[in-house]
Amino acid sequence: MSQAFQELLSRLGNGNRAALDQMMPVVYAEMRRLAEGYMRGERADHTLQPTALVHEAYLRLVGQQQVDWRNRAQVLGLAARMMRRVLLDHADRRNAAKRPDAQAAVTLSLVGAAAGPSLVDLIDLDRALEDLSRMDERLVALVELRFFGGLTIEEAAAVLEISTATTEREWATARMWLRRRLRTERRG
Amino acid sequence: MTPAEWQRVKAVLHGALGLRPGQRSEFLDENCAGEGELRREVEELLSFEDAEHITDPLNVTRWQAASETETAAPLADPECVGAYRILRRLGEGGMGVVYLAARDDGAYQHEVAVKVLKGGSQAAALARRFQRERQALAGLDHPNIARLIDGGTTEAGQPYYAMEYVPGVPVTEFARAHGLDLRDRLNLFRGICDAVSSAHRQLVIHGDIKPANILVSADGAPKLLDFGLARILQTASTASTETPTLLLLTPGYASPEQVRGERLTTAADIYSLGVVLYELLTGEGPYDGHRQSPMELCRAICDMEPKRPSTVLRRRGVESGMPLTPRQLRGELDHVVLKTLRKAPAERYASVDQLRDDLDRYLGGFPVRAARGSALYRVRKFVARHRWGVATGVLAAALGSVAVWTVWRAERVAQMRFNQVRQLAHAVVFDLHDSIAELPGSTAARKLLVERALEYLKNLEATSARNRDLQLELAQSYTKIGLVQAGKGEASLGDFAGAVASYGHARAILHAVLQRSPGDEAAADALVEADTQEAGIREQRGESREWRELRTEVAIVLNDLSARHPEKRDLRLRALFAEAYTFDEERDWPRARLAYERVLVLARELYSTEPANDKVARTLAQAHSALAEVLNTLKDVPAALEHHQEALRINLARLARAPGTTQLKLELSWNYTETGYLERERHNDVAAAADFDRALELLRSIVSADPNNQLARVEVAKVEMVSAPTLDASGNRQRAVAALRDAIGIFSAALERDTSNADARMHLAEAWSNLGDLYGRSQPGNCALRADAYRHASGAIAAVKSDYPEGAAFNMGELRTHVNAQMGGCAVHAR
Repeated sequence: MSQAFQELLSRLGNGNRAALDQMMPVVYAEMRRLAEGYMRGERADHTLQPTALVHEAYLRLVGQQQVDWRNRAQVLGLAARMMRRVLLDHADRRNAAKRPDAQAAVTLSLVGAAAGPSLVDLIDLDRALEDLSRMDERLVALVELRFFGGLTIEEAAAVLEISTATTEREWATARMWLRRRLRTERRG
Repeated sequence: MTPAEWQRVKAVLHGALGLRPGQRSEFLDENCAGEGELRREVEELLSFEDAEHITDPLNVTRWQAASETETAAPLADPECVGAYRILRRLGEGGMGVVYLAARDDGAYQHEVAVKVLKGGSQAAALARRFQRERQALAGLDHPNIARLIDGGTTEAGQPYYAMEYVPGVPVTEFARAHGLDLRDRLNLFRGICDAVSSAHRQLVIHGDIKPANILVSADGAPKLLDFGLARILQTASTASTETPTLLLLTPGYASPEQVRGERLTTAADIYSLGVVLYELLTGEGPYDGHRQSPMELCRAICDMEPKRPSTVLRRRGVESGMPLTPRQLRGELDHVVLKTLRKAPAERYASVDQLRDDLDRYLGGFPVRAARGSALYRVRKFVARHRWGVATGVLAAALGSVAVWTVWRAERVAQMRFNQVRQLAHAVVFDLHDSIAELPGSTAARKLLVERALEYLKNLEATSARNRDLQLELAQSYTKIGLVQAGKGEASLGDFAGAVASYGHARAILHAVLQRSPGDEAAADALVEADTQEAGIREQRGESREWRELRTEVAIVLNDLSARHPEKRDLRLRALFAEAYTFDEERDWPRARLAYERVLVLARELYSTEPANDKVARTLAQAHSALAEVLNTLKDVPAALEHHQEALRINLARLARAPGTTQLKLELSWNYTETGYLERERHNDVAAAADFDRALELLRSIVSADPNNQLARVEVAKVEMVSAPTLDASGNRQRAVAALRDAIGIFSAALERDTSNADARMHLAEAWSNLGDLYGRSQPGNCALRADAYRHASGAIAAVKSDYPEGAAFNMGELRTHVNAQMGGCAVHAR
């Protein structure tokens, strides 16, 4: 781990939230490098596990360093947000390289829906989150943490500094809102 | 829905979620009374609640990409963008596509460059931001800035802008293609500085300065493109989420603060200009070695000190294809470039004008400000101008006229205190310390004494400002303390860091004295002494960079001194010697040879007029030895041997005049070792063995007279090591083994005294390896002894600092390979 990053981590430990923002470019660059490695045909099926990727990035950045679990959640949360960005960049590039009529092909496979895994277009999801952020940024942050970072309710609660009970209700709300929105999208 | 309305929806929704479906209707009746819209919204959302428990995961598990490959057809180029007719595509970058376009404007046609940005999801924000900044950007009117003409949004909703079309190539490419020399490169760069400076005055920051944004047209005029756009992109991309910038720029040219996503200031442009200058001067970027991944590059930008441009150029050698030499960059240009690349914005140039001003100064032959504060720097500059016959009056007058302003009373007080403390310190450091230095186990006491004396000296330093005599004595005291802490070839505490600090104090004081009164011979002498001592321990520890710098300073100071006192031929001799030594260190053998030959001419001349002057005789002998070494490196063994023998003759004559002199015996032993070594090279083993024996005899006589002389002891070991193969070759294998064993014992003891002694450690490694080789020859079957020797060698090698200078006594890499191979061989044999 670089000294600068280590210093940021320790400042984070001292309650300095700005340190988290300063980590962002580093985390982003790392996520992107990892993701691109995966996508360069290292896997035949062109799939990857964003959640696993986020944790891999975390491990690469923080290593074996003893980190307070709350800071760990924060860095993971940051990585999750960056993951969204990386996925989106990738989708943008892919779509840019295609004929306009081609179907957007970067999709997310979601589990937990009643009918088993379903595919969601990443661009649709991003647009939905973009709209949601105009009303409720915290909800978007929560979605990023859970969707892209695979953080548990407890971890997400720590990052957002709200109770786990609130987090659970917020999470339910976010899913309802997104389902409605994405279903409407597909119909329209 | 407004955020406030949504919060209201959520409040009701959260309440309902805690209830069983059967109870919800009643709850909503209560909480949404008279608010039909609210109730509809909540109920609709609730209809999307899934059957499972609410903590069920809904994680993304797979990211599926299309099975098509990336090589799908590119997006078709538009025919028109705004009022512009697209003529052809000029290029494509991370931010968008650039087209050559034309606007038909009645009678004539303008050609412009149109850049269509890949706005993605931020297109709207980008366009808004662009609209706001357009005014400021359009106001930039400078011959070296490509003018912004127009901007807007395409029919497809992508932001675009039109700017002056510059038919040119990136600045680095231009410099390479035209093989520009240093002056031309700097002049080109000054034009770029002018453009950036002009924009800064209008409060516009470029934010993405890089060669691709600096085009040079055929007439050689540079033009900057994309002014201010980086900032627009950054702000637009962050407007919605209030998170700081992501890396939208080319990281290779971004400043540490940009990489960290901090606010952009003019200092970031100064940094990026520095990267461009670095590339113009060396042909590569400051962190090209760290380009494996963006993250590593970002880390390097934030944490790594870039190498000096001259160092990069030297490393790359002719392969760089650069028409510049390391020597041209060394010194001021290194300083200028590194000052632009400081990690902390406050440590860079305060403005582009200052950077440009320093380049002007450099081109005019004046000292650059980047090196301000370094007296050495001014001296070097002075000498350089002297050398080229440039009028030096201005600077000399400036240096000389700094009046020594000391209030009489203050000086009296200082004088009294100085005298008191000086006497005390002197007594402590020199009398008291020396009297107990020989006592076994006195190290701790000596350390305490030295520390106490240092305290006094530090107090003195505070009160003796600007009094030349006080300063001089103080500096000399620091040097002496440095010697007690760690001096090469003297009994010392082995406190390297302390010694370096002491020498540093001495040098800082002397630099200040010399800056006020250049040509002060005593101060220059004291500086040479401090430098030489520090260089000695730096060399011993393998710190080649510091060592070289110190030796360079010695050469410069002596050169300057000799130029000021042309009547003193001994000064001239010392200066010439120091200069030759500098070439020697730079491994510039042909020049070193010429320089030593010049030393010899003058030394012989002085020797013939004053044959009894031991200093001159010694210098003459040393010059012969040094030249012999260079000749040996140049593979002229007979000439080398001749010069070594000449040195030997001179030193024998000196010894005849002053028998029993320890230093002289030491030098003679070196002469014999060298001649012995060369005889061995010529397979003249008998003569070689005889020479080594004489060397050992001299050294042992020193040790028996003064058992505390560690230097002589180590010299014994070194000669034993060198002599072993000769003994073996002349049939005396037993003596060879004994010599190596003895040497190993001495090196080990030296290492026990000072574990940081790299010289001893390398010799130890070599000695063990040689012993292994010897066992291999004498008892091929006996692997245990061999393996043991190589194991020891391997251990010693592993402990040697890896950055030991190339060209030092040993090639550690070679030795390591050899030892590893032999160990492997042993293992095979044993099986």
